[in-house]
Amino acid sequence: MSYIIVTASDDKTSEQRCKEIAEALWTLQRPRAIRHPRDVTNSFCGVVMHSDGRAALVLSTDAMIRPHEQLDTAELFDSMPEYTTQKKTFVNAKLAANYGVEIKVSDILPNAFSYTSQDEMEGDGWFPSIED
Amino acid sequence: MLGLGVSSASQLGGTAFALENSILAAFKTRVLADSGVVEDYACLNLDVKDLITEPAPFTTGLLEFYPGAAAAYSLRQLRRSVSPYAIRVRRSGDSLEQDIGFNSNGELDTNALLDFANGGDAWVTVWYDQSSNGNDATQGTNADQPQIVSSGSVITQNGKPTLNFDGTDTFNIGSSDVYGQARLDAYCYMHSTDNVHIMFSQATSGSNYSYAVHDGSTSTTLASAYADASSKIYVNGSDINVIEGTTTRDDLHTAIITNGAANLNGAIIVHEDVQTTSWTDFKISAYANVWTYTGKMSEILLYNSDQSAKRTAIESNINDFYSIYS
Repeated sequence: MSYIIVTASDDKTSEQRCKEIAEALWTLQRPRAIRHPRDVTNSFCGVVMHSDGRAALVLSTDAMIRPHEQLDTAELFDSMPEYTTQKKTFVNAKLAANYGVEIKVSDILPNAFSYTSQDEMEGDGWFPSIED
Repeated sequence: MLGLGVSSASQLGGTAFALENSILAAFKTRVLADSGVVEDYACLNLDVKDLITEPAPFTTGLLEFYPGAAAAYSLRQLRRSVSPYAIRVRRSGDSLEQDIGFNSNGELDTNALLDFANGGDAWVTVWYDQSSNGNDATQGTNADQPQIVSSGSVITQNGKPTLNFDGTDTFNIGSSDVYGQARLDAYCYMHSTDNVHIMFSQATSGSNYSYAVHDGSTSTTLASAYADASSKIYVNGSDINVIEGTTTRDDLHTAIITNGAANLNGAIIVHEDVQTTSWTDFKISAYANVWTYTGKMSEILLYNSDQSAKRTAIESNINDFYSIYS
C-alpha cells in the first residue's frame, strides 16, 4: 500500500483535508446529484493518522477511478488548492474524455502530491507497535 | 410445472411458489445461455438440481433460541420479524447500492444479489444488525468495503455466501452496546490463512484492541483493554487455554489460524468474557493495513452479557448451518 501525506492548511487540519479529498474523489465516480439518499459510500479511500496530527490518504499508486458523465470538478478543485491552472485544464480534459472508463487516480492529482511507501510510513512512525 | 419433481404452490404454499419461481429463473437462464435451445433433462438438471433439492424453509433463527445479542451480523436469517435485509451492497460499474434480503429458506437472496451485480463485482456497505438494536456495521469508504460478488459469482465458504476481507477492509459499529461494556462474548465464523490481524479494535490508533494474532511474534502482550485472566478463546469449541504472560501472539496464530481458521472449512472463534469498558468506539478489524484482517467472514455475534452457559449450543447452531467441524 502507499499513501499521500496531506499538509494542513490555514483553516483545516491535515485530517479534515484528507477526508474532504477522499470525498471529493468519490464525487467523480458517484456525483452527489445522482446519489440515493440511502447510499452509504461517500469516500473513495481511507485516511490514516500519525500521532503528531498529520494525516495521509491510503491510496495505491495504481488505484483506478471511473469518472461519471455528470461529475462536477468544483469540489475536487476546492479540496486541493495545490492544483495549478494548467493541471486543472488537464484534469478536466482527462475526465471528459473518459466518462465511464477507469483511469488512474494518480493522473488527476495535483503534481505537488507525492506517494509514500508503506516502509517509509512505518519508518516515519505512522504505525506504532501495537504493543504501545 | 416443469416436471422437475417440485410440488405445486397449492400443495406447499408460498415457499414452494417462491422455489418454483427460482427454478423457472434458472431454467430460463440456462435456455438463454444455450441460444434458446432446450437441452435434455440431464443437462438442465445440472443447473437446477440445487434448487430441486429443497432446503428446509426458515422457521426459527439462532437469536430466537439465544436472544439478547447486542449486535448480530450474518448472511443467514437469525430471527423472524427482523430487518428484511442482510446487507447493503455497492456494485462495480455505476457504483449503485441496493439492499439484499433473504430467501424463503432464511439464506441470503443470492438471486437478487447476482441480478443486481449484473455480472460484475459487489461490495458490502452495510452489514445489517439482526439483533433488533439497530447496530448496523457500516463502511462508507469505497476501498475498505469487503467483497461478496466477484465477476458475477457469489463468494462462498463451505458453499454458503461469505464476505471477503482483503486486508484493508473494516466495518464501524457506532454503538455503546458493544463498546464501553464490562462483558463481551463474541462469536465469529471465519476462514483465513492470515499471518497478522486484530479482529476488533477501538479505532484507527494503536490503543484498545482485541487479541493480536501474529505469526512468529514472541510478544505476550495479547490485547489492550480487552482481556484479563478470566477471558477465554475457543476454537471450534475447544478452549485454547490462554495464559496471561505466557501465551504469545504466535501461539494465538497457531491455535486460531493454523489449527483453526486455516482449515478448509474455517473455524468458529469465540472471545468469551472480554471487555470494552474503556473503549469509545468499535471497529471490526483494525487499523492501517498492518493489522487489518485478511480472509472470509460469514457471521459475527456480539453479546454484552454472559453467554458461557449457552456457548456450546450457540457454536452448535453455527456449526449445524455451516458444517464446519464434526
